Amino acid sequence: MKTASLPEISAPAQVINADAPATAKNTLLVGLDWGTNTSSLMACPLGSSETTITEQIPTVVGYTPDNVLDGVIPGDAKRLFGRMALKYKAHLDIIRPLKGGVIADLEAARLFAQHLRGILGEPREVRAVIGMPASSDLAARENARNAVAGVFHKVLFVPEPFLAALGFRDESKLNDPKYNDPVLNSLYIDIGAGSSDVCLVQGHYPTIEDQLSAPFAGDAVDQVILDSALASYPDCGLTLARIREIKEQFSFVHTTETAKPAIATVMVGGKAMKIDLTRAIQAGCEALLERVYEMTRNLIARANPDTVAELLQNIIVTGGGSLIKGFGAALQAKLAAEGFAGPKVTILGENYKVYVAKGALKAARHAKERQWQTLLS
Amino acid sequence: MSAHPNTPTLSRYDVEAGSGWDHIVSLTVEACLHRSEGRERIAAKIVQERLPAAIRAWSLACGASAASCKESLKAMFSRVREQVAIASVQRRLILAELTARAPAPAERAAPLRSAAAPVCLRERIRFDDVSGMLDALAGAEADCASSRPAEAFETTRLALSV
Repeated sequence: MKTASLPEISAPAQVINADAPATAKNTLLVGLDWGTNTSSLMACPLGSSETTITEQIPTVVGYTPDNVLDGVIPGDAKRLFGRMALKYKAHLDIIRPLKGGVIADLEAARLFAQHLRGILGEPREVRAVIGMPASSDLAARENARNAVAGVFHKVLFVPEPFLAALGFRDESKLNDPKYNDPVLNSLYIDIGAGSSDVCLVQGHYPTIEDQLSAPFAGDAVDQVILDSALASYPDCGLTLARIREIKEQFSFVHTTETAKPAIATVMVGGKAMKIDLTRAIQAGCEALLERVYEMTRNLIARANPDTVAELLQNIIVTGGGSLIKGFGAALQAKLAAEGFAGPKVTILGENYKVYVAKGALKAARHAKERQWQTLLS
Repeated sequence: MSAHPNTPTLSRYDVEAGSGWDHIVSLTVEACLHRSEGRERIAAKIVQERLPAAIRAWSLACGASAASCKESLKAMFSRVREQVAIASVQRRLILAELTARAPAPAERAAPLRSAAAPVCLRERIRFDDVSGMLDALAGAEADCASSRPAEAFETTRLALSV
């Protein structure tokens, strides 16, 4: 598998020839998890089973202000993307194009999509399956369509939980009697930046009855931590971006054994000061745990009683929130305390980032010619 | 179907004239529209069950050669497919415009809020049937979209009536 490693600088807009015939040689299929914090991209030529591009890129656009001196930004680029934007963040105006899993800044989103297109290589027809939060409405889809018009030729939007389940399933093991097929009877919990989605996957794609979503996830946790930190240290100068970094390092729930003291160094009046954010982080993460637990409990109650025993063995947590230390054990303990028999919570861990993109690429391979939505450039 | 040696050569206009032809065009448009909105099963039903009978009846009635009939049908299928594809894009653009002009969700009257509902499946699709899932999602999106113009017009009506 080849991994693209192009520099993350501004990519030029591509010219699209909508009349070009789709062939394996000139058509690229793309699976895109357009995440609020990180985007995951996978691609393969049409008709190929081999994934040729796998990339994870922070979903960030950095605009160079006019007052930045020449030579500071590589190539004096007007815009940087992803890791490069984060590297030079002190000199850039950093914009996150997505908020809550949907596009919040159309112009930045369009530029970011063009950057992704640049990663895909030579101009040719690009067809992308793009993950959308389960709670996204028509307007969110229309915004996404506008952002990628002129960048991708054809698109399909599919709810992320569907794609996560598709990506997590290993079709090569379906004939193995020991393989626990994760789509037969499972409960998926996807904790992203903007929303937490819980859905039942019982041999079929979740319908509206099979899923619950709450606009409380990583970003909301950051806000709780920040509010709590500012209440204790009003002059600490912490920002949401800094809180996110600290949370990713120290987040934990429930058991103090899983926690290490979250001592952050902040600058106050030019002097370094160490502050203890352990309680603030615990408060934020446990607020998330409580929301997820409530949704999980409610959805289990909706499942066919005959399926619940097996369902409880297959609770799968994915998304950035799954990386909170102790989250799986804490959720399991809360369910057990509620009286659910022997629940088993599985955390997908760092790999979660690839499952949606992997599922999206699988969906792209299955899509029929007529199903693709053609975009006008 | 083979043409009788004495079958008169008809112009394309003659071949396409008559209500039988209009019925075929109407069924083709209907099938293409259903297909463009993800209702693949309904589209397939029209193509497999209703269209063949209509074509058979028309081809017998019009008296043109099999080649002429095939040529007319092929041209019409192609034309309708193209028209429906263009119409779908236009519809999307118009809906986007209406959506942009509609007030923010908080400003909407309570009964209209359901239009901002997520695009969700309303029927169960087997997990193996990825293509079926994509059709059902397209259908769900079309259903949501069809509620949007009504919402925009209703909002305008409410605003004017205040």
